[in-house]
Amino acid sequence: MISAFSKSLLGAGRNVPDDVINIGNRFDVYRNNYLVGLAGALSDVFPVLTQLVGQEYFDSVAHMFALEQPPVSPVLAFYGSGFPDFLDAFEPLKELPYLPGVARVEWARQVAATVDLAPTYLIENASDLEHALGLRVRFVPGTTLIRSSYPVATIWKHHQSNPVEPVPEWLPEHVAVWPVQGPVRLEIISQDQMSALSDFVNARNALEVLEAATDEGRATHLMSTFATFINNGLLVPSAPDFGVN
Amino acid sequence: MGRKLENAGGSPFAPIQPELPFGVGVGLKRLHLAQLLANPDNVDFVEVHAENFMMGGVNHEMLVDVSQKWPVSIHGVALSLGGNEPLDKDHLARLKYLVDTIRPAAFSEHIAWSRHGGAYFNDLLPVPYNKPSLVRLCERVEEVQQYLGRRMLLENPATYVRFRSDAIFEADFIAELVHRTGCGILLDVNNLYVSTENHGWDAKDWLSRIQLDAVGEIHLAGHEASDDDDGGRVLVDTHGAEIVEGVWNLYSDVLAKAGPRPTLIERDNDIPPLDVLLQEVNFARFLTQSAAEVYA
Repeated sequence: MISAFSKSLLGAGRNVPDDVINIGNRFDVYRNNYLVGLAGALSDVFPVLTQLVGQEYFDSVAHMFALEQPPVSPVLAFYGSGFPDFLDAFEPLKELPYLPGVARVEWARQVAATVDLAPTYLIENASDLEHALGLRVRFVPGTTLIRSSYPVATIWKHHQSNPVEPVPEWLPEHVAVWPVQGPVRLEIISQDQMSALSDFVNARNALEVLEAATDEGRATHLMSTFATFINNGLLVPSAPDFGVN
Repeated sequence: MGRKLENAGGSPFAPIQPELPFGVGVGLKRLHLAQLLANPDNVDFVEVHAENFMMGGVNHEMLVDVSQKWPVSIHGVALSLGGNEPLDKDHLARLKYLVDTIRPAAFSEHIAWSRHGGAYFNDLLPVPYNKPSLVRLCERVEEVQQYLGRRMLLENPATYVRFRSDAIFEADFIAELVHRTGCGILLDVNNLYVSTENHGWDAKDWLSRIQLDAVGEIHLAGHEASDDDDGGRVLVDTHGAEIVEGVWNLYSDVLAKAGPRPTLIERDNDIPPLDVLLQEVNFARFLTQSAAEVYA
């Protein structure tokens, strides 16, 4: 019975399990509860997206997503990771190609808001810097980096005020979202910073990256970037690699 | 205060003594928290949905603080006890961590299922009332009680359809569940009202068939009425409206039969200002205290 009930809930048709005494088609109460509940959960996670397309349209898209990709976890804070990709492939919204990117920003914020904070490192003097340069670093757990052809972080930021502020320039953006003590941190970063961050987490330590710099000016610039992102908690020391794995 | 409560049916567990106070609580909502903290005596306990506090971070820290202020009832909505797949071990582990760290005064779940074939349905779906369902549910309730190391309360569901394979009346099904597992009952008076109206059951007969002494908590909530496709009236448990007079009357009947019980005003949708909820809290307190005087 449970298997048939599940299939009927997720089916777009009107079939109802044989075992159900479906007086007045009351089975639809369960279908409706499922769709409405999940649309509400998604709208909580994607409030700017909801604003951009309107509640009614958002709900109808969310219903389609809920039928195609039901939650796998009862913790609904984890539901919605596939929504940006779903929007990418959603033909009726192709004329608003920035929407999936805005959804990625909102999902990144959700991820950052729901992880336990990891210990961070603070560079306060030259000795701290020297020590940090020798450490293997990683992104703090809960970090998302986004590359978009659209100003997705600016759109998100401008929807935090009422009335919504217009977006002055329609430019590509690189975005970092990560957890810190207090509200989630969201920064628009440069392409160069994005590239440097990738180099730092892929290297044995930051010194290795600095040594590969083409000139002293570039090395100084990279060191400054490194110190900035260590101190704002995006980069944290990684566990020592003893070569066991 | 109140009568000593005992398990029926020779349960291996100790007699049920609700650890929640015999008062009235509310479901904890973030938008009410500051006001509640300013006047903590306005409620006697708070209840939270377990699944809202399983992702760690600041939410969990907030709940630790809250548990220092009031007794906490943890209410699970996703164990899928009525399902036929193995219990989700990851979910159980998260639940155990929550219960062990918060040390709630009560832990409750539902006679329902919500997960199948890798999908979680975010709803409390109905269980056929027959022997195979009962046996499976009892096994799963015992598994959870053993894993958590504590007794749980099981909530009667609000249902909109019944099954051709039903062979046991709902109240008898619950009574047997209590008898076999030693679990307690979370008596949702609104759910009882909704189900009896939807299925034409007799609520007083229903109440006469369960072990009222096993009721460790009561829920009161609102529902909404609509028409089904045949023009019949169907009540839907929404937790999004005020408690109707019929539910208050049924609650009074329960108190008259069972004596005072910890009672929760449950509101999850269209949440009104705290003052509005406190009017319902105060009315429930009046009824509970009246029952306490009768049973003193």
